[in-house]
Formats: sequence, structure tokens, C-alpha cells
Amino acid sequence: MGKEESPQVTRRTTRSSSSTPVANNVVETTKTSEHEPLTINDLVFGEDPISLDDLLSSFPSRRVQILELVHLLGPSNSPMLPLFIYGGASTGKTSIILQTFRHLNRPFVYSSCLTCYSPRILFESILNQLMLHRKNAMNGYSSVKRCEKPADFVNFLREALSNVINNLMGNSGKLNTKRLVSQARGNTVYLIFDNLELVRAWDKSSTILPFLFNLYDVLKMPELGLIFVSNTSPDTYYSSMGYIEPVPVYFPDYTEDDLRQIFMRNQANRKVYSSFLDVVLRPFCRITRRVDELSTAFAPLFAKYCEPLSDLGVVPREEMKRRLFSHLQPHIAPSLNEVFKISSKPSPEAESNKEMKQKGSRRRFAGCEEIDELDFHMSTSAKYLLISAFLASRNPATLDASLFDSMGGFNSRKRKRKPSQKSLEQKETAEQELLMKGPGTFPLERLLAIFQCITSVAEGSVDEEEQENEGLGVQRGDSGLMSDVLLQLSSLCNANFIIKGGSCPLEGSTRYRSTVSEEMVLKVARSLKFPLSKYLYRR
Amino acid sequence: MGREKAAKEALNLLRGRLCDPTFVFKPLSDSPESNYSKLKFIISSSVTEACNNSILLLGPRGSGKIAVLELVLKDLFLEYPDMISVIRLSGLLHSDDNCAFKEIARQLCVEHDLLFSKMASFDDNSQFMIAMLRECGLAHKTVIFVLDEFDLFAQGKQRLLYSLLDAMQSITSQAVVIGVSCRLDADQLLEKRVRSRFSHRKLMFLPPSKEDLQRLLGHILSLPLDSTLPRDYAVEFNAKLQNMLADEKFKQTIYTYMDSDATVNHLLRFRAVSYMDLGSGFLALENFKTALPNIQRQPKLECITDCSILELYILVCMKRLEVKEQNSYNFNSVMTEYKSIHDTFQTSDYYARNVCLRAFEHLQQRELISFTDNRGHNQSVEFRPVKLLISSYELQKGLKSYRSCPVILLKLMDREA
Repeated sequence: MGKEESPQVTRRTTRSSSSTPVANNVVETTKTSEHEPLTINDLVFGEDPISLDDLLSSFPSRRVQILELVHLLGPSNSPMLPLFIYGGASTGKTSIILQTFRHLNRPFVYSSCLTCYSPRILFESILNQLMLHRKNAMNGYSSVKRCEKPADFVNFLREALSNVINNLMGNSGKLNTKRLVSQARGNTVYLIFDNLELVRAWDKSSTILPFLFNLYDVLKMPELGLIFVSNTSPDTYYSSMGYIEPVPVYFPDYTEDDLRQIFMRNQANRKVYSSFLDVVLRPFCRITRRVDELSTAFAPLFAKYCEPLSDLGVVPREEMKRRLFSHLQPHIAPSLNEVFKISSKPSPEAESNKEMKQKGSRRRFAGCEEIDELDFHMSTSAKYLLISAFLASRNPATLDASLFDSMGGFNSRKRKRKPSQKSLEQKETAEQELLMKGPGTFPLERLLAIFQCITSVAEGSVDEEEQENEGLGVQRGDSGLMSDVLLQLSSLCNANFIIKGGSCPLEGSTRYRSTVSEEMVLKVARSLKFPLSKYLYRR
Repeated sequence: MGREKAAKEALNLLRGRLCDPTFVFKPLSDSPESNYSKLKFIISSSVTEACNNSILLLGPRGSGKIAVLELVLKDLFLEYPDMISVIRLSGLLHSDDNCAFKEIARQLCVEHDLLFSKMASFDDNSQFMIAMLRECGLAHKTVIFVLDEFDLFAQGKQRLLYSLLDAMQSITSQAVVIGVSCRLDADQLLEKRVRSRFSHRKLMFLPPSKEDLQRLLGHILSLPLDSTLPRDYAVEFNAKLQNMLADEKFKQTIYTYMDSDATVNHLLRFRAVSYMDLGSGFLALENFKTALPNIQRQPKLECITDCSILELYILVCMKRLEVKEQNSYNFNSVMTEYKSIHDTFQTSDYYARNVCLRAFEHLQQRELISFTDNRGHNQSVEFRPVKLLISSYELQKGLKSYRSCPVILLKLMDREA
């Protein structure tokens, strides 16, 4: 088996909190012609092992879970029943299990069901890692063995595991003083399956899931340890096929105190940040307690909070704290309503512009103001198409003739009677229906008809402005416009502004549905100076 | 040997025993009435009398079927060397007939040192198997087929089962087919022609009774006196263990667990042993007591404790909609309900729509709510009908145990109850 491979870049290091990517036993990484074959020690985490205290201190509020894991994994060379680690998103499951293996310095094979999205890729990835095979140009980026069925996987796995274990036993015999830090300890190999909840959505989930859970029984090798990591609890995996339950380990979401400890880690200006957290942590925790969402919300707020402070190292006293709080106060509420939004960083020109107009009322601040413009670019015909799709979804088809024959056709026929009780009730039920059913579907022909109508209307009003701009699509003849439109339609579908529904069995053509909200269409219409309200059917 | 080193070695030993089912079920196999003796009698009689046989082992998971079978096979290998060869198939892996025959051929080749070709077709493999059976029969060698997860082989056309049982009908073959299944009605799944060739022998495996469990625990957890462990440590450990087993509180702990699920007590033992204190080196009652709540989990309640307050609001709104007997509701209706609660009670927790939508998606990730339409992606998230996956009792319990739950939510839930 050819083992001339390029220097190792372990996948696992990208997921750890520290990020030195150089493994200890690959010394020269710059020389690309130097190929070191992968050895058994590459199955270990690959960086300096850490002590238990380091591990506990780098995960501030996970002491109970880490000790539980260490106990269940047991001392070296002791067999283990399969583990099932579960908890909400962003609770630290993956990073803790990886860092625990760094502390224990035992060989493991990590595979995530997110990147290995089908059984074949999952099996081949595990076999590649166990057989120390690296995909490179020389073997055509192929795996070491082609493996699709669970039966083949079990046979290959048994073979690979016995090789690895023999290697490990040979390794433990000889003492390598220079490379002691990265030498694998013990004779047990662990397989970690991450993101297990995604397996349920696979086609073959009814066979693959019971197979994975029963893998330990099928293989009957005490030198193998299985660890499953999942976002959902074990009761969501129950199916008609049973299995021996793995040992559950639960990672609860962080409480407010835990979050405070986590955010205070690695902070340069501890006192200021601590008073900042006093202010913002409680209201934000009412919405979400996930670390990733809170950190994106806190970053701009903290920048805002520190604005009046000239020196960040100072310990703020009471009146200073009150001043900072009142400075931040008006920004908290809008930020709460935008807490899940990650805005793009403003460009440096925008920053300098902002400084120049200090007293302007624009609070460009994590996207919290009323944005009147769209913050992304769309071509003109795409905008018209979007508006047509919205109108087609929102208006009933029978009104098309009256709405689109002349401009403002609907307005003139508006009845000015006082609404009776019955019509009010009808209005309410109609609104209720709109809430429940959502936007209606329309066939392609109707969309194109509406599009032609409104662009011909708009053409008249826009003609004067477009004398100079020759290249716009609106100026072209009808035939040129149509192909452009179909192309735009598919890009709008890809952007999920328009959803393609199933085809009607009677007619046979596909139907579409628009999914944009009214505010967004208003913004689009405003940018085109299109009178949307005249065409919108209000019940 | 230092105390801690001895404790570590003892811990390794105990963990090894707990992970090995054959060790766990050995003491139950001593009596002549046990399944072990019956199974051994059946197989050894077919070996000695050169006849064919088939038998089903049935019982819930974790009751020791494969373990007892392995014990029997191990003993038979010692008694009749070179007269038995074993082929192991599993329904999880080999339910497809092609796979199954390929695996049979592969194992036969490995056993008899023949070259196995991966390219052999289904017909080749089945011809090979029949030929091998005939040859083994002529050589007075019994082939034992162990079919794990037997009910999965009974799906589809049952070609493998039919060919196996049919091959056994001829005089020249000596084969025993042992099916192992957790479905107690596995023999009802067989087709007529397969069932007629099957001898309806069944052995039922039951989970150990309470007295047996005591004996089992004593056997598993006692340290051997003649191993590398220091003798006085082992003696002291065993004495403490016997004290603990006789203790009433310990029995209570074990029985509460057994009453809920008798087959999963391996988890309890494993967890408790893992927590053994290496400093003192003895198993204590506290280990078992701390292990018990870790096994008896309430996942939905844990989910609710994980939720944020906004997510709780959404859950309570959905519960109120259900009580109002709205058959199907979606995110928009939940939002109108949320707004009406805010208008009535003037809560401080009123957030924008996109924040609520994200919280709604978090709830869906936690599997507390789910969409009721399976076609899925024809509508955007706000319009798809949803339903709650927890009962109102669980929701109420979760709210009560929630730290700093807003009073308004408790009031609303109490009103529904």
C-alpha cells in the first residue's frame, strides 16, 4: 500500500479552540517534496496533551460532564459500552470530546455525518483514517477501499481494527523518548460519530441507524470504543427496529452564570466587560442562551458601550457605570429585536462617512434602523419579475383583467359604501385564511402576462430617463425580454424568492408561489418608483 | 502493589466483564433446566447422530441469547474438535440474498482455506454452498448456521431461508440452523414453504428474575482471589460487596430500576462501576445511587429546561391554540396568539417577528414541535402547519421546574389545565 503522502493537516485541529495546525511528528512541513507516511500516532489529537486541570479550566461550566466522560471512558485499556452524548446546539459537545481525547492521548477516528452525507462516504472516510490512507493526486483521490454496504464495512473494519490494535500493542512496547508527547497511549481505538441526527434524514436511515447502534455487538471487539454525538435526545431515534441502548451523557444548555463565565474568558478588559455583561446578559438570555448567537449580538454592542471610555483598562466606578449604561440603553431594545441578524461589516469609506456626519440621525448599528433601501443588488427586470410574482400570488386570478387593463383601473371602481357587519366578518375570515394558507400559486403564463403588463406601463414613464442608458434590458424588443425573464425566474427560484410547486394534474404545467414579504416588495417597488398599492388587491 | 494501582486493575477487570455478555450470563447456565443445557443437548445430538436440525432462540434484547449460544459453541468446540464449523450471518448486514450468499461463501472459504472470488455470482455462490454442504456431510462435519436478527431475513422473498432449509432436507447434509430474534412471533413471519421445512423448536429467553439478579451481580462484581491482584485487597473488596448486596437500600435501588425495564440493567452496572472511587478502591452504594438518575432520564423535560423564555412563550401559545381546538395552525397563527397575550397582559417580553421566527426554528431543532406536512418544501416556514410534540402535562411540569419562569406563563398554563 503506497504510503507516500503529503504532510498531515489533521481535520480535527480546525475544530479545536487552539489552532496550531502542526502535528508533532511532522517536523518539516514546508518541503512539499518530503512525504512522511502516516503512522499510528497520527490517530491521536496531534498537539501537546493537556492536563485534566487545563481541560476543566478551558471549559468553565462543564466540570460535571467532563468528569463523567473521563470516568466512562475509563483507564487505559479498559473496554467500554457505546456512549451517546446529546445536548442542544453550541453546547460544546464536539469540542469537549475532542479535547478530552487530547488530554487522554488515545487514538481515535472522527467522522461527522454532516460532511459524510451518505453511508458510502461515511464508511470510506472511517476506513481511510483507520488504514492511514491519504487521498492525493497519486492515487487519484480515491479511498483505500470501495465500500457501500454495511456487510463489507464490517469485514473491512474488523481487518483494519486488528491491524491498528496490533500496531498499538507493538508501539506500547517500545519507548520513544523524543516523541513521547504524541505517542498513542493504550490499546483501544475509539470511533466518534458526530451530528448523528442527520442520519435520520438519509434514504437508508431505517437500516443504517440500527446498524450503527448495533455495531458494537456485531463486531464484538473489546478494543473498540464507540461514541455517538447528537443534537437531539435518544428518544428521537426510536424506530421499529430495536437496539441495545448506549450510555447517555447529557449536556444541558448553559445557564446565565455559565454564560457569564464563558464570555469573561479571554477578555482583555475584564472589569469593563463585566459591567457590560451586567447590563446586557439578562435581557438577551430571555431570547436565547446559545453562545454563538449571543456572541454575534454582543460584539457590536460592546463596541458601542466602550465609545465614551477613553481608557479601556480603567475600572469603572458607579457613576461611570451609570453613564455607560445610559449611553447604551437606547441601543439595547433595537438590538434585541435584531438578535439573530448578522450584519455585514461596513466598509472603511462608510465608516469615515459616518464619522463626518456625527449628528445625523442614522444609527448604523447592527442593522437596527429602518432600512429604506434593499441591502443587496437586483437587476431591474428581476425586480419587476419579483413584483409580478408577488402580485400573482396575492391577487386572485379573476381580478387580473380589471386591474391590468389600464392604469389605476381598480381605484376608480372602488366602492365607498360603509362596510356592513357581514362584510367585516367576511374580511376577518379572509384574513385568517390568508394567514393560514399563505400566498397562492400561479402558473407561468399568468406571471409572464402580469410582467408584460407592468413593464409596458413602466416603460412609458421611464422612457425619458433611459435615453442615455442603451444597454438596459427594458429597451429591447419583446422576444429578447422573454429569454431574459426565464433566466431571471430560475435565479429567483434559486434565491428562494419564488418556490416551484407541484404541477396541477389537470393542466400539467408547474405552478409557482412567491415567498417574499410585503415589506420587501414595498422596498423593491420604491426603488423602481412603481406604484404597488394601486395593483394590490385589498380585501 | 499500591492501593490505587490495584484499584485501577480491578476496575479494568470489572469493566471488561461487564462489556462481555458471555461472562454475564454464565452463572445462569449451570442448572440442567436452563436454556444452555437444552441448547447444548440439541446441537450435540445433531452432531453425534449426524442429522439436521433447526431451532429458534427468542427473547427480548439483552436477555443473553447470543451469549448462551456462544457459550454452547465454545464448549462444543472443545468436546468435538474438527467436527463443527460455524457460519455467522446477521439480518442487519445480510438481509439481501446476494450479500448473504457471498458472505456464506466467504466464511466457508476462510474456514477451509480456499480462495474466495469476489466476482462470483449469486448462482455460483449458492451452488458452492450446496456442494460444500454435501462434502461436509460426507466428511461427517456439521455446519452450524447462526442467523442473528432472524426476523430481518424473513422480509422479502426469503430465498436464503428456503435454500438453507431445503439443502438440509437431503440425507447427505449435516447442518443446524439456529435463528436468533427479538420478535417473539418470528416463526409466524415465515412463508408456508419455509415453515414446513422448519422444525418448530423454540427456546424462550427471559430476563433474569430478582433472585437471579442478585446472584448475577455477586458473580460479576466479585474479584477473583487467584489473579494478579493482591489477595487481601480482593478479599476485602468481596466482603464489602457482599455487605452491599445484602443491604436493603441497595435492593431497593436495583428493583426500582428493574421494574421499569429489565433488559437495560447493564447500563446501570456499567455506570456505577465506572464511578468506583479509585482512592478507596471499593464499590459503594453511592455509586449505584448516582448512576440511577443518569439512566432514568426525562428528555422532554430536559429540553424544556434548555429553552429560553421566548421559546416558552411560543410553546404556551401553541398549547392555547390547541385548547381552542384549532385543528391546524401555523407560525402566523401562533404570532397572532402571542400578540393577543401581549395585548391582554402587557408582558415585557414582546419581540419582533424575525426573532420569534428564529426561536421557532430552534424549537423545531430541539424536536419539541414539528411540521405536519411531509411534502415539506412547498411553502415557507411561516405557513407550514405545525404541531406540538409534548403533552400539556409535560409542558406544565417543565414550566414549574424552570428557574425564573415568568408568572404569566404559569398562570396561562394553569388556566388550561
